[in-house]
Amino acid sequence: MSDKGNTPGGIPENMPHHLSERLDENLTLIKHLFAFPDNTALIIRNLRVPALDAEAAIVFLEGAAEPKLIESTILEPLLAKPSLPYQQPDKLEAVLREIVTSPSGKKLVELQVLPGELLKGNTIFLLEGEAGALTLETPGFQSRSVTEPQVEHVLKGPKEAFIESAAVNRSLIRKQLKERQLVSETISIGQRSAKDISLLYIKDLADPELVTEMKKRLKAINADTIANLSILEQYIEDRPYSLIPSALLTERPDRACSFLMEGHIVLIMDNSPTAMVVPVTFWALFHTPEDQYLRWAYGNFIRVVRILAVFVALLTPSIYISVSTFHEEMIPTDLLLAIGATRERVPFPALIEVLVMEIAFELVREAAVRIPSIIGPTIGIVGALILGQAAVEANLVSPILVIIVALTGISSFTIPEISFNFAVRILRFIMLFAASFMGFFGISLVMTCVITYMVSFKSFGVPFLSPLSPHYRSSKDLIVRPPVWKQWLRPFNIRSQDSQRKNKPEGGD
Amino acid sequence: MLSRSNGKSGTREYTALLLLTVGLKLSDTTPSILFKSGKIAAWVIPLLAFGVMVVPFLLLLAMLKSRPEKGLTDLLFLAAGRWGGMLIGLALCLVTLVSTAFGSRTYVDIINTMGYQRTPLFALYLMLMAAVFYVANRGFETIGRTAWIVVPYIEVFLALLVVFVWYDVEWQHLFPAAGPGLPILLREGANHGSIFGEMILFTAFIPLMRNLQEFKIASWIGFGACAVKIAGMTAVYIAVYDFPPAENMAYPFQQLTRAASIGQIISHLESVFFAFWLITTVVHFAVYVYLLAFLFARSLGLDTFEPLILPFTGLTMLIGMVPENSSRVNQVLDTTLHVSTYMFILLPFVLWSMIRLRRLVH
Repeated sequence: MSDKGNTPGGIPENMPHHLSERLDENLTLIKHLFAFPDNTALIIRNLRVPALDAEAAIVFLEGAAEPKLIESTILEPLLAKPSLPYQQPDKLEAVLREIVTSPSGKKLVELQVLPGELLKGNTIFLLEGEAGALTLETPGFQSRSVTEPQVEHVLKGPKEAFIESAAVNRSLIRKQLKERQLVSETISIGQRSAKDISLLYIKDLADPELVTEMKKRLKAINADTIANLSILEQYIEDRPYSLIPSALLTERPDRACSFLMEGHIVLIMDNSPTAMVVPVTFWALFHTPEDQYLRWAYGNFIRVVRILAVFVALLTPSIYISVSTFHEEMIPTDLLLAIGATRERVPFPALIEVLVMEIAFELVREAAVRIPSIIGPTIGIVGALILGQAAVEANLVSPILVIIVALTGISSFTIPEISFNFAVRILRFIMLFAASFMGFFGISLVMTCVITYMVSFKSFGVPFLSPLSPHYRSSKDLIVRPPVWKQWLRPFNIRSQDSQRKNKPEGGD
Repeated sequence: MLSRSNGKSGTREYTALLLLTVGLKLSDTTPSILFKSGKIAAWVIPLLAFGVMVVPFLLLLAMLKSRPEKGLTDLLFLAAGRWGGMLIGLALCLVTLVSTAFGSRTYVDIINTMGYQRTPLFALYLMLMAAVFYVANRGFETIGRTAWIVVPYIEVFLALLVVFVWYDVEWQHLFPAAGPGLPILLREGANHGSIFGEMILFTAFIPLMRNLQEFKIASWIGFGACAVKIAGMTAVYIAVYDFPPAENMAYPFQQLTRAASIGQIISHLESVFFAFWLITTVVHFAVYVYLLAFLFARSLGLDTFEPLILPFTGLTMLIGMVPENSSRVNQVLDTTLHVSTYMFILLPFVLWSMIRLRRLVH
């Protein structure tokens, strides 16, 4: 907040707003702003430009700008060019247009924007006698190279993933989407340390109202700084306390592109190895790119397996509790006797049994994420052998329960999206309590409320279960999908400006 | 450019809502009531009742045709003036309240008898109505969407139920086809018109629909399918149980789910059917509670009615708790059915003549 006497650019209010004509004054101001000489990252290189016969200085931040680039595109031309009559009357313009060779740069006169430029990795060029400066692009931030996705694997399909550099991520999208109307807007947010957010959308596809709404929400953010997209998601979502997410983070450029082509908005930011997609529906959380890459029959097969897995992960423990405590008649007699025999030696009610195992499983799961990868294999031994086998032998739980918890666990791993995965896992416990309290009566009531909640939930104005309910026209790519050539309609619920991907094919419906 | 969703329901959502709300009557005491009056031919009565209600419904639609965005309540005020409209509106409200309260009590009785004998009736009632309130409170649009999501599963399970009891079905039980005789059947059909009283009552929802055309299509499909469904299931009950035993059966649908089996091993599926039936029940009563609040607020000329949903849920439950046992409930329901039948059949004609009269006077 600006109550510390800082302007939005982070400049103390008592400092001048504009650069001075005197080089040493400007340098003193910059030194003051960057706490020089304590801060040794600020590098000032004084030089004399023979071409203009004037004292000058270039300023950059170590680690932010690339010294080799500065040397080749700024220093060398400045020092080497002879004194000629230049076309531009303004000296700074002359330097920018006729001397330096860096690909982009601009003139600035306000002191306010100067620190931001340095922090972005740009180099500042100051000239004696000029009340202005040049900012020249020389980014030198380190980032890793493009690798395979860590979370969203596919067997068939592209294997590139986003990395922590926004420029690389934008390039990965451009590479896949050769689209003239693909717009990349930049919005700066954060009061103290401003961060750039790229807003990508296809101008003649995305709903203009959605784009306006998105920009409004971004500008309304009141924060010191936004570290990355995961934090940003929590600032702009529709319902912060809801189990259902309003946005989707994907690490796959191909996925981001397919959403762009449907009229969604994609957000990209430095330090986020993901792209954020809004708005989202249940289907976006449930689908994987592989469903489309595989041939029709195989793609639908894995879809059916996954929707089954969602219900198994959500309901198996609660159905077991219901059936074994309220509706025993459902189990065939032989099996009932077998279960009864194994449960005979277990002293706890079924709910405690299930809770113990479910919590143990969640512990194993959380531990597997946090454990240093070098001692990772121990999790398997402890989890499988001790918790599974030994718990049964010690008569803490019955063997059938181990099967149920394992089945639930395996099923929950098939849910591809992290937020949705958590939603299902948390909801499972709610279902568990409802089932142990009232059996199927409890499950049905809670389930109805959950369905009602899901249909009334909206992400950026788009109903969560649309285009299924409420019904909109679409290519019917919901639980199962039609063959790719039949998917000629963009889903109408996203309100894309052009509803057809192509002309209606022969035999398409 | 497409318009943003404007909070109104379309054909699909409303059809689904009707299929669940009205179709659920096949699973409560309605068939039992029909057995008493229609005997062996009880299954014809729903079709006749539907036929009887078509006439006033058509008249009502004709009156609403020239008045877009207007529903039943607006028509009441138009025909009977401020006070008269309010009076008729409140009377409709009262009928709906009584039938919803006693209807919900019936459902809680069913839950209590068929599955949860040891749980206090009040506790079951409270839980059911809590869920009903949650669903109703989210609005008409949401109820319709919920219905549209669940309706395929419900209808598939209903079809499966028939498949699973197919072995026990004996169609010869349906003969002699005319049952107690045609004149009696026709009279009873007219008397039980209020099985489809929703055809009149739900015209109040027209302002919540996208347009009248969608409302009409959904109504014809929805009510038509429900008439066939209720008639069909009533026929199945008779075909499975035969006539005199069917009459003594309190909850034929729930008995049927007990009879359903897949092969030799899986012979008890009633809990599965119970789970799906319960989802429908919640949607069913959510619609009625919503309708109550809506009718009441509109009758008194109030703009917002959402805050009334909670008090009406509570009131429904309080009234539903009054009767001591289910046979009392059935008596009241039977009486309401008769009284409201006349009311629903006559209402459109009364409104029509009142509007005519006003035109003559002015």
